[in-house]
Amino acid sequence: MYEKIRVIFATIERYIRLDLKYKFQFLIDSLIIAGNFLGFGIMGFYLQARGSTLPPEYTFEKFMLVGTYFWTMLTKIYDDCTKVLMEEANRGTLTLLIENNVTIPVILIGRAIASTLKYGLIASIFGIPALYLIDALKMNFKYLPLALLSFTCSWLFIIGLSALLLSIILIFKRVGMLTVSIMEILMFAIGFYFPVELLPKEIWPILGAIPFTIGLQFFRDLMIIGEPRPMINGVYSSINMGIMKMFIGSLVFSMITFTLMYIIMKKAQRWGTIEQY
Amino acid sequence: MEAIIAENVTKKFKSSILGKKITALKNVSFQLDEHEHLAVMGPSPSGKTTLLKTIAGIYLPDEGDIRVYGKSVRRKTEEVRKITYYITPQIQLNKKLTVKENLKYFTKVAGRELTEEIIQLLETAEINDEVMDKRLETLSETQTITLKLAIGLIKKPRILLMDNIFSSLEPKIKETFTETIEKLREEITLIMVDQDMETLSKLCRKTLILNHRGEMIMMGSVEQLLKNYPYKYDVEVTLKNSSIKEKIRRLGYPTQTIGDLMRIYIKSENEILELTSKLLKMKEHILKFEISGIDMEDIYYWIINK
Repeated sequence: MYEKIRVIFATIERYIRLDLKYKFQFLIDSLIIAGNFLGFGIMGFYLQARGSTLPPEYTFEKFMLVGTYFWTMLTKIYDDCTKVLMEEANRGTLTLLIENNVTIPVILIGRAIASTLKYGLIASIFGIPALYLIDALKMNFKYLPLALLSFTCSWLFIIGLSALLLSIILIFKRVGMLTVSIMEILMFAIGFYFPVELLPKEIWPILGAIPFTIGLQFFRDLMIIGEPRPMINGVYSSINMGIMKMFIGSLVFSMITFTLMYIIMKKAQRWGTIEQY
Repeated sequence: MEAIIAENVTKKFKSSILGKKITALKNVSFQLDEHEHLAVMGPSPSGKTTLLKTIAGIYLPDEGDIRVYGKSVRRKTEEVRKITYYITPQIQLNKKLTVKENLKYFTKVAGRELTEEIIQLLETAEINDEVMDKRLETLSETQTITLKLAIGLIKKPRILLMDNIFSSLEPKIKETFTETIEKLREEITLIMVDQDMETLSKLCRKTLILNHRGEMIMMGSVEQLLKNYPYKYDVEVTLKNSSIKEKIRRLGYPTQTIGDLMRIYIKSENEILELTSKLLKMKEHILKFEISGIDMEDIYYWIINK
């Protein structure tokens, strides 16, 4: 276990160093994130002006920008994680990593943590001032653990989803637009554009079962209202129930997908596709 | 002590998800003792690289198993990877990182420090303090391959698997590399695949030959092969014109022709004298001829042709 942790830490450091080498990409990523805040902010103000159906104390610009802050970090982590295998393979470095026991789960976790630090920093540089300007930094300090748990569970869900995608990549090598399409579907499903309670009742059980939906909802409430709402239609019937669904859901999902990735990794060693040539 | 025991190893690859399976290795079984140096030879493709990658735990066998110091490559893959190192020009280090950053990463991964021997090895390729801070993309091919070997040595492998390393090296660095491997003779078990037969003969005392179907034709020590080989010497004749080829063939010795070069295989010293006088009679058609003892390359071609 200690060995694995040591390798993960070394891999995180490697990815941070590598990210810092690509300064132009870093700049472009920062500009895109800034653009997201600007674009969704404008969209929020526009929707607000047109009149909206949102929970009390919510305004559309707060709804969109808090969502953007939370979403941007996680979606960028997902982007990096689903690309990591192909990037290492294209550079010809994958075989050397594997034979040194830097396995695919280790690469994924290392990449995920390095990206979390990178995008956490960039998103906060633009996001926190933007949220401050629209008065969406109302979180009561006692709810900080819940905010962190919401982020961690959503993070775990995203890493689990990346593991699932990497398993598919290990089998088929190229998956076209699948990674992007999943993210686009997820943006609607978790209530990024519209609150889940405004979506049709029939799909509430599905949407409410996604840990990311609950995580985003908790995070929005904490930032906009200052505390979580006692219940949200279609998401959770009590705060404790919400926490439990989010925690167990993300843990079970990531455990299943990591187990699947481990099985596929072994299969890929048999098939000879592990090096992704 | 046995370093490697391969039992009925079969490895197949699929060309695509629904494609037909191609057999790379078929029922390969062999044993290799600790600190022995083995040359794996065979035509292309014959599964040589696949065999090395399977021993290194990069691939897993479809059937059979390989035990490396008693550890099954199927069940204890990560344990096997800790004691093996597979090196080839095809695998790359991250070129955006500096030499120092790459070394630092792999020392952290292995949980070891750079030893004096590794630093000395790097210095032979002029990887000094100044070069340490340069990105890999600025390094020469020789420096890169030296760095790859150095990185492999960080984890102190008990088994070194070298895949076509020497054929891509400059003569000077090839010599240094050969010396480095010879220094490690008592510490590592070596398995090599290379086009450079001279280096293979120099470094390996055992040989394993695969055919184009990935089956093992034979395995044995070089001495044993030499003992079984019917010829003792080969005479390499460089021709001035090709018209003489048929005349040389009619001398009655086994021959092999590669362009304007003919190899004549002979059994005894008496035959050398006999052949030399016959060749001298054809001197206007011959540029030069050289007599040498039989080496691994001769035996390899003999077995393959058989």
